[in-house]
This record gives sequence, structure tokens and C-alpha cells, in this order.
Amino acid sequence: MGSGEEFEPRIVAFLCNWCTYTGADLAGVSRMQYPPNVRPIRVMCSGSVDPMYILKALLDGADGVLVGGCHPGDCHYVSGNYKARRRLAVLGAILDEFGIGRDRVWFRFISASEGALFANTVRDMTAALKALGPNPARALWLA
Amino acid sequence: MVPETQLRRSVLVVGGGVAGMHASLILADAGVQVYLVDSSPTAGGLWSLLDRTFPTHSCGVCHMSPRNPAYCPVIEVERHPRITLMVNSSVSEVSGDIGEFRVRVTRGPEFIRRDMCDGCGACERACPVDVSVPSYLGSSGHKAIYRPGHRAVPGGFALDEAACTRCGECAEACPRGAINLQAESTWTDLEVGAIIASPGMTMCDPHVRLEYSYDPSRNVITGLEFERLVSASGPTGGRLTRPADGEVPGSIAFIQCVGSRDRSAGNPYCSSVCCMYAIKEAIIAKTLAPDARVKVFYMDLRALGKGYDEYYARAKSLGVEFENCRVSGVEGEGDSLEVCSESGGEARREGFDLIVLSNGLVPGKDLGTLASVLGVETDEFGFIRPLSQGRSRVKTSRSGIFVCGGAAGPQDIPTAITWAGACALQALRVVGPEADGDEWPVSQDAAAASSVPGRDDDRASGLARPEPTPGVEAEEPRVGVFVCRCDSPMGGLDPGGLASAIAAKAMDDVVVVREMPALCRREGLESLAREVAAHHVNRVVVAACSPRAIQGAVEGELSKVGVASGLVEAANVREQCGWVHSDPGEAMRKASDLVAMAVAGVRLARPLAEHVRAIPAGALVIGGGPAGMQAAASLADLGHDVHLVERDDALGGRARALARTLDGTNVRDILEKLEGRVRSDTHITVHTSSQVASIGRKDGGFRVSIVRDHGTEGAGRGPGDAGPARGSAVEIECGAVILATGGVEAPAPTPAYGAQADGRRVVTQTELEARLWPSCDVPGGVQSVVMIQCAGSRDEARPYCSQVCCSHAIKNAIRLKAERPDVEVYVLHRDIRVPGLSEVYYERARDMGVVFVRHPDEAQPKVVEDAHGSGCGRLVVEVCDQVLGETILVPADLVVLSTGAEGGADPELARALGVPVGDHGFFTEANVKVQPVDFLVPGVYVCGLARAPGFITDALISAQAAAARAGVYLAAKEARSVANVARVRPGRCSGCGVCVDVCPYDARSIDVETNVVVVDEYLCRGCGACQTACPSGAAWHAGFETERVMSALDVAFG
Repeated sequence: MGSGEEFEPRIVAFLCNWCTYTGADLAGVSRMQYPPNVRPIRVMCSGSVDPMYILKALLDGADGVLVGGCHPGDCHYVSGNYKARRRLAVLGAILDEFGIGRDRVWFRFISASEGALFANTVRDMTAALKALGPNPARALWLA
Repeated sequence: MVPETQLRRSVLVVGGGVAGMHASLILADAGVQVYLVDSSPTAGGLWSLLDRTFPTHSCGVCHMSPRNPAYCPVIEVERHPRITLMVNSSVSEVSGDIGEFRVRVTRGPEFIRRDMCDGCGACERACPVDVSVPSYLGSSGHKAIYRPGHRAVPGGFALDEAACTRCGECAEACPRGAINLQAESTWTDLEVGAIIASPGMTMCDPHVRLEYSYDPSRNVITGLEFERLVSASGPTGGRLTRPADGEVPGSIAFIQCVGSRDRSAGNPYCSSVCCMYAIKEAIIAKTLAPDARVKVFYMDLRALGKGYDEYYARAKSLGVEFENCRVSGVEGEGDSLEVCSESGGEARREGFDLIVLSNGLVPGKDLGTLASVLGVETDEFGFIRPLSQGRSRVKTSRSGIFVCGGAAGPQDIPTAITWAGACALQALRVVGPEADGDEWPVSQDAAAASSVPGRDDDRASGLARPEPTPGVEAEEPRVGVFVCRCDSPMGGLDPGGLASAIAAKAMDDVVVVREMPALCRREGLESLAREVAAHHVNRVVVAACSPRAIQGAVEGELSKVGVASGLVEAANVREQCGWVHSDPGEAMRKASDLVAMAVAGVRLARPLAEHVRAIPAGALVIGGGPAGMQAAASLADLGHDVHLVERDDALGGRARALARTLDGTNVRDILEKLEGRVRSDTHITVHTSSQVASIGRKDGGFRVSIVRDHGTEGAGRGPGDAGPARGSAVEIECGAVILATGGVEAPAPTPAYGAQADGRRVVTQTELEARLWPSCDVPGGVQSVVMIQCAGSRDEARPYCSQVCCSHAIKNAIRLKAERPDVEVYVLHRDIRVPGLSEVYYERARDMGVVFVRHPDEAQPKVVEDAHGSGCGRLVVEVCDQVLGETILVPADLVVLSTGAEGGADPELARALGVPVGDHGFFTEANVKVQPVDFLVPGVYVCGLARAPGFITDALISAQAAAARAGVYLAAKEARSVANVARVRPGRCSGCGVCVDVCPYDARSIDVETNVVVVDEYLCRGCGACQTACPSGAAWHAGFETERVMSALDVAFG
């Protein structure tokens, strides 16, 4: 990162096919503008997001990871969003231990109709990560 | 002119709310062409304004689709190839008869051509007219040309005709020439076999009671406005603030029955949904503002539905206050709003910061017009009148036209969904049960990539299909990247530039990069196929719009040139890149990364194998009560063979103990007609005195052993009764099972009342009913009858409402008063819960002199011997009168206990079928809100009392809904796995069973011989939870393999 350049956080977003990915599509259809810092990856269910994916993203230099799933009670696979919520709670403790910090991983319920919420979430997360600064793993493990 | 075959197999659905969408999706899946007409610019109806629904406390409407998982139904009805969605349209003429209606649909002027609009928004920016929205619903207002609704489907723009000045700025600004402000109305003539009317209801005017001072600018709003206020997509983005000043309210009051149960101002009927939506909103208020005081002022708290009382209890546990009173008015201004009420004879005033009026439901303003166009009768309130109150309330006065949803009277979503299912059944009876042989819609799972070539081969073989294009995994990957030159400008992204940038990147295995003409068009797809063939490409990335829109079509086309489904990946560079990032440099950088990620994934992709197996013909219906008989009859109507199993030696179930329904329908007539029907139908085999001794899954269906195990030989055997001889078993196979096993009458908790139900001085409501019909047989000495409600319901043991007891009591009280006007009848109750239009019977009972005494929830009445009486054994009931605030003594010659219902689900049967049973013995459906007759496992359905307490007529409706689902499932003749089944690498599996535990569908089990997990492909729905849970990398999720995700992450940032 150049000295005069503003830090642009890198965000990987795992989005469940039925709700959040479709909500992100709606943000597009509605032409809602949000920061280009996010790289979405479509998964069938937030419950299939392996903590390993999140760790890999962070250790490879992503500054934050967003996991988007259906609202409580709306999971298209009964309880995947609850599974994700539990996993991420545990992962948070590990991230704190690593010195990366749980604040870099956000789990949000965003439905297919909440395009605005998706856009706002990316906006908020980008701003929050800018405030947090670069992922320390970048300095620790990456040249 | 519509071709003959289409004519026979097409249905018109009027109204695209929850009910209309559900009926449309069922019919379309059954191979019927559906025309779904809605007068508004979008589908979705009243529901689309709701943030969430009770009692699930989520939206969850996506689960209503007959195929799960599915997208939101507004998306599903738009994309379904057999549903023609006609918005901004109305039915203007109907002629002809059942089976051959001719319908004219008038469409309002299409000012904005939907086929040309790409939603860029240039028109909206150019429009100089600001429209302020009259109610608080629409936040800060909009332009005269605007994007309606947050769940808007179809997408695109609408014109506010009244506000538009026709200045033409928008037409000028539109880059695609899609706007014509001189457009005129057009019409289309359709020929359909049947019509379903589901135009819904609207909220009544909150001004009906002026004393409630409705005025959002003074912080008095409606329930629906509150709903928008707390919605993440609403005007405040989900923050709970006061409309007048944006402050967070410290106290919120909900006022019930605004325009409901009120002849003088509004409607005499109960709107059926307001108590529950107020509870929901109160819970939301408590969640968003935990310190706020939240209070509900109600007349009777009507939690009439499965799980509703538990939801009510949840609100109370969160600290929501409930007070039983009629509010006389709202006074004051701004910060000093006061709710004036009267309780216990005392006038009271309480201050609140925000007041929510729970206004009721009324027929839509155009319902009368629609009814006259359709030629169907309406009732005194303007709702479409059912043909009869008995078996088929979804039938209207005109043959071939059916009604569901709010047009038939106030209905909550589960009721509307159930009625919609019954309407679908009735429509299928008209248009013919046979599927017309074309393919099931491939678009359903387009995003999940389910289209597989050659699916007509080995149909019904019961075997897994060979993997398409075997050996591709051994081939060197040859990836082609094709950038779509979208017909709609991709915002900040230049497709040509993207293609050059990708080519310059020279990614591994990428052999060709091309910019293509629009891939959603025939020419684009064909030239794509040519490029793929010419360069021997075996894996494809399309950089285009959302995979939901494009992947299915691309896979279908490429399957013709040997690229299997699963070997195509879509990089979403439009909706999730160009359209949301206007800076060309940023959009290009991200799009290039998205393509690189797609390439990294598709290099490791494997072909997806879809499995198909036959579903055996025929169904089993367990339970011979009204629901079971109706389900059997309805399935037979669709041409399916049915085995109907009844434990008892006679058909009819618990309904045999009943004489009439609240509206006076003769229950015995219903039962006799149904029994005659099932016994005479050659499709139906009746097994009385029989039980299902064993049932298990076998191939695509069920293997069932039915044992005739008790009862007298020959007793109750009718002409259709072909069951085996006593003690012997008959083995059958079938493809679907409907559980109609009913329930039992809950025993009266006698110690609580101090009296024993002795059948003499203390009887149950059912026992009383037996004395009232056919002739009234109540001894002359009986001068005072006291009915005690909630006898064994809504208590600790059974914390739910049995739903029917209030109506049961009112029915018997009216009969008693009519036959014996000299008898005093008292009803001691907590809340009087009668649904919707039945309110008129509650009114009638009061008019006839029945005395209703309300007592506090916790103060049970007590039955004691009358010490001061004549000594002839009279009883006295002590009850705390909530209105008087004191205990009164009511003499009773006869005490009647309104006992409730309990489920009767057989746990062993449930286990064998893999369906859950909840507390209190009722089966637990897949989703209490929108899948009331389904389970998570395919092929098993539930109806009637087996699912939840309810009226006989409701049981008959749910039986038809279950039969519709089972009938369509059987008519498909085969079951298809999802494409992205999660599998097992046996060599890596240690048999630990973690994946078995996390699978929500019981699709996984451990093979006892090999100690390796095996997957039932037909139960797996491809969520991928197992892959994540597996500690040894044995479980793998087709299309979403760990290595693919990891490889994509490697290249996510340049």
C-alpha cells in the first residue's frame, strides 16, 4: 500500500443462493451503488460455509469476510443459518486468539428482498474495515 | 386462437397475492398453463408489504413453492415457463362454461415496455414530478415514474398516471426507447378450463373510528404502517422511530378491533388476523426498543391457529402488556397522546408515544366488480359466497370458478395457502389430472444447475443415469470464457474491455476468450455453442448477468455440444458488478477478479449427475374421518388409486359425535355423502377395522402392510370395503401417503373444577350436543346451563387453544335457547375465539340472551354443590367476573365442560415415515405458515386434526390441499434428485456420523456392514452442511466442492 493511497479493504462475501445472493442481485437490479471492495462467492447455504474458507481468505490477505444467509426461520435448508451462526461464534474466539479479531468477520441475515440492506451492509463493512485498518495477517504472514 | 390442448389445460388465476401465487405454482407444476392476473404493477399482494409473519416470526414465504428449495414466490411465478404473469391487468369479461371459459383480460396502458426496460433508472432521474405519498407507507414519496415496491416483480418501472404531467422528459431520457406516454389499454382473450379468484383483501380505513385520531403526522399509525416502519426495506431502514419527529418511542400502544367486530363503525365480523399481527408487532417493538413499554388493548385475544397461543405467551414473556377493554378514544397531541379506556367500570387515561391502530380487513374495492364479471354471488359483507358451507367452500355459485384467500372472508396466510391448495385441486379436476408429458420446468433449479440432457432416456428405470459425457474429468481442462455483450448496458462495465482484459491475463487452461452477442437470445446461445465446439472447449465461464437468469439457458444449449451441466460457471458481472459500481476502472478490476474466480472453480468442476427413479402409482390414506375420506375422494378424482385405512369398524371418525357445525350445516349429511362417495368409487379400497402394521420406504415409494386386526367380521363393511379377512394382512405398494389420523378429545381436568363429568349433572360439550339433535332432549327441570370454556385447553398441560370449543359452545347455546327459551345459558370464558365471519353467531347468541361471563385467565371457575338450594342436587359455579371485578355464583342444573382436542399421532408411524410429531401429539408440518400439508420428506402429507385442531370444514379444505400435493407428486410418476447432491468419498469416510447428525433431511445413514456413510440422493437437497461438518474430507457437495471454493479464493483479489 502506497503511503498516500487510502487503504481499500478487501472483502470476501459468502452469500447463500436463495436469500442474500438474490438480495445482492436485487441491489443490482435497483442500481444501488456500493463500494467495489467485495468479492461475492455463491454458496447454496450459509450453513455450508466452512470456517476453513474464512481462515484461508483472512490468511491470504482479505481484510474481512461477510457471510450472508436467510433470516432466522427462513433458511431454505431448515437450519443452515443457525449452523453458520454457531460456527462463526466459535470462529470469532479463534480469530481473537490469532490477533485478527472477530470484528473482521460479519454474519448478516439478508433476504432476497433486502437489496438495500445488502448494499448498506457492504458500505458499512467497508467503512468499518477502513477504520480497523489492514488485516494484521498481511503484515505477519504475507510479505 | 388457443390450441385445443392448451385450452383444456389452462387456468386463470385472478389475484397474485399469497393464495394466487400458491395455486398458480401448484397448477403450473402439474403441467397446467396458468394465467396469473393482478391489477397492481407487481405480484405479491398485501403480503409483500409485511416485514415478517406470525407465528414463525420470519418471512418464510419462499417455502410456499411446491418444490423446495425455491426462490421467493414472486420470482418463481415470474420465471415459471407455464405461468404467464399479467400485471396491471383486470378481467373484464367472462363467458362460456366450466371447462371452456372465454375470458377477456384488459391490460392498463403499458407506458413502459417491460420487454425493453432494463431498469437503468434514467427516466426516474429525468422526471420532474415529485409525488408525496398520502400515507406513511411510502417513505419520502417518489417520482411520477418510479420503481414500485421493494419486492417488485416484474422488475422495472411504473407510471403514476394521476401525477404524471406527460411532459415527456422520461421518454426522452430513456436510452432504449421503452417509454410511450401515449400508450393505450390493450386486451387479450384467453380460453381457460377453470378460474380461481384470489384477489385478496385490503385494510379498512383507519378513520372508521374518528375518535382514534388516526394521523401519522401525530404518531397515530396503522398496523401496516408500523410493519413498514420496522422493515429493513422500509422508510427508516428498520429503525423504530416516531413518524412525527424521528424519536425512538418510549411507549407504544396497540388498539385492536379498529373497524372489526363493530357494526356501528366498520364491520361486524372479526378480521381474523389483527390480534396476531399486533402480537407480532409488539414483539418486534420489544426487540427493537427493549426498554419501551408496549401494551395491547384488546376485546378478545384471538390466537386461532397452530402455534399462535405459544406466540402470545412469548409476547407476554417479553414484557408486552395486554389489557382487555374497548378503547373509547385517543386524545392529545404529539408527546402527550393518551389512550382513553374503560375497565372495571372505571374510566382511565394512559399516555403513549406511539399509537398503532390494528385496523381490520375489508373486501378489496374492486371485488364487487370482479364478482359480477365472474358471475359469482357475494354475501352481505361483499365477500364471494361459497356454494355451500359444507364440503367444498372453495366452490362458488358458478361451476368451474373457485375462491381462496381474503376474497372468501378474512383469512390468515396458512388458511389462504390451504384454500389455494384446495382450489388447485378443484381446478385440476376440471382441466384433467393427466400431466401432458412435457418436461418439468428446468428453470426451477436453474441456479442449482439441474438441466440434464436426454432426460427421456431410461425414464422410470429406477436407476441412476450414467454420468453425462463420461471421462471429462480425465480430459485436460479447456476453458472458454465468454463475455456477454448484454442488451442492457452493464452500467460501469464495458464488456469488450473485460474480454480484452481477460485475454491479456492468460489464465491457465483458458483456450478462448470471446465477447458474445446477448446470451439470453437465441442467436447468442447458438453462436456460443459454435464457439465451444470450434475450440473443443470442455468447461465454460460466461461473464454475464446473474446465474439465476442465465445459467439454465446456457447449460441447456451447451448440453447439445457435449458440455455437461456442472461444467458451466457464470460470473455475475452485471447485477453484482457493473450495475452497482459506476466507476469503470473499479468495475473492470472487480469483474476481472470475478471471472478469474469462476475460471479457477470451473477448472475443478465435475459433471453433475441427476438421478431419476419411478414413483409407484397409488396412495395410502391413513384415517377414515372426514379429512381422510375427503383426501381419498379427491385423489380418486385425479385418477389415482387409493387405499383408505380406518382403525374403527365404521368410517367418520370423531365427527360422528357431532350433529351440526356453527353455521348449521348437518355433519351427518357431510359424512354420509363422503362415505357413499368413497365406498362407491372404484379407485378407492376401504379397509375398516384395519391398521397399518408396518410401513417403510421402498425404492421411490412405500411398502405397506395393512392388517385387519379387530372388530366384528363383516361389521361396517360396505360395498367398497375390500379389506382382508380378520387377522390377515394385505401388502401394498404406493407412491404417496396422506396422514389423516385425527386426534382425540382431551379429558376434562375435573379436579380443577371440583366436579366430575358424570354424564348427568356435569357433561362435556359433545355429550350435550348429542342431547340437542336431532331433537332437543334436555329435561324440563333444567333451568340453568353453565358452560365452562377452555376446560383442558390453554393451561399448563395443553398450552394451546383447541380452536373449536368457543364455536361449539355458541352453537349449542343457540340451539338450547331456540328450543328452550326458558333456560338460562351462561358461558364462562377467557377470550371468545370465533373465526372471521362466525362472529355473527356470537352476536346472535348474545342477542338471544346467552350470558357471557369473562373471567381472568388465571381464575378458573369452581363447581360446588348448592348448599342453600332445594336439595335436589343442584350445582353452583363460582366465577370471578372480570368486568365486575368480583366473584359471582351461578346456579347450574347442568354444567357443560368445553373440552379441547389432543393430537393422536402414532409415534411409530411417524418414525417409520421420517416425519416429526410435536408436543401434544400433532404432526409437525414442514412450515406451519406456508407448507401446512407438507413434510420435509417427499411423498408424505398431512391434513385435518392430525396436524392441528380445527373445524370439520377446515379439515375438508386441508384434505383437498393435501390431495392436490399428493396427486401432482404421483402424476409426475418419477422423482428427481437435485443436481448438486452431496456425496461421499468412501475411502475417506471413517463412519463418525457427524454428517448424519447435521443433515436436515435424514438423507445420510451409516451402512452397518461397511461403516461408511451412504446418501439417499432423493432425500438430499444439496445444502452442503455435511461437507462443512465432515472432519475427513469425505463428504463432498457437487458443484460447491471445497477445492473449488479454495481455488476461487486464491484469485479473489487479482
